[in-house]
Amino acid sequence: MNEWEITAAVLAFALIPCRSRGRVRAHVGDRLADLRPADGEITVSWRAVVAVILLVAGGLLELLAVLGLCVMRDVYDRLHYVGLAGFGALLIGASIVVRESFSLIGDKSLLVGAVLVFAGPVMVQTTVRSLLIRERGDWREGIGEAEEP
Amino acid sequence: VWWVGWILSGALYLLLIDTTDLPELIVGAGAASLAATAFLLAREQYLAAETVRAEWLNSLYRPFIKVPTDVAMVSWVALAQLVDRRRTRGAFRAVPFRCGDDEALEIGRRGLAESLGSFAPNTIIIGVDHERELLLGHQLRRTGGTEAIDVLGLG
Repeated sequence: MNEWEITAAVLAFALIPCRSRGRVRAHVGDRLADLRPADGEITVSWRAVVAVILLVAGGLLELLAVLGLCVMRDVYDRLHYVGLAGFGALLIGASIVVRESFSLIGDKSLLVGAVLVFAGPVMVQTTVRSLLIRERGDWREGIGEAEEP
Repeated sequence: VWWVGWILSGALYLLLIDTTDLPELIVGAGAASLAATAFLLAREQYLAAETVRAEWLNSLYRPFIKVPTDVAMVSWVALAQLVDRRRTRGAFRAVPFRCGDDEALEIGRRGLAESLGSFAPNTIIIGVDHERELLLGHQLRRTGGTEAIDVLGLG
């Protein structure tokens, strides 16, 4: 059973309507019998479960980052979602490392995630400064007085 | 210093391309030379030098522990915007940030405050205004006091 099948099984469990407690037990009993792996199948390991959780979490963050970019109306608000996309990529990279261990592909995916997380804030900062200079002539212009510490 | 930069950037290149073919090695050596030269030039202009004090690094953990709450906050704001469409949600903020005379140290302090202050996604640090001695930033959801902008407490 690979991680896609585990994800599909989790979603299927969530979608099955529960009519009564008695019925649920009966269904679970039936389903357990059906879910027994065939001879020679590899059992699900904690590693596969953690990899699925990280993969789903990373994918969700990427979706939320895209959603944020689409629904925000102000350009400065939109730029915050670059950071969110970086963390999503890092989680996906971490899921590959959990699944593949510290192999070439695992190291590379983690490195790509780390580069996105650390380079994102720098790119965002320079973009915000450029936008402010374009809008106001000086990036310091129009930003208020200091708050009380 | 140039050779240290060349070896480190060459190692990073090899890690990324995963192959030791001769043409790739030649391109890698060229790219590493460019990177090492740029690092040396930056170092000569105090952009990358020994300008960071050890005590500044004591609060280095703060941007990292802010990440989970900021990720949740930014995600929530995206979902909230779906229901309640507002023209702007974020706000510019300015907090006090004293500026000293030692240029090399100031570059290091500003670099840390600007780069790590923007690490968690709810806050973007725009820069340090020397004249008014302010650290300027933008938050998607306005939270916290001055420590939310000056995350490392360097001001």
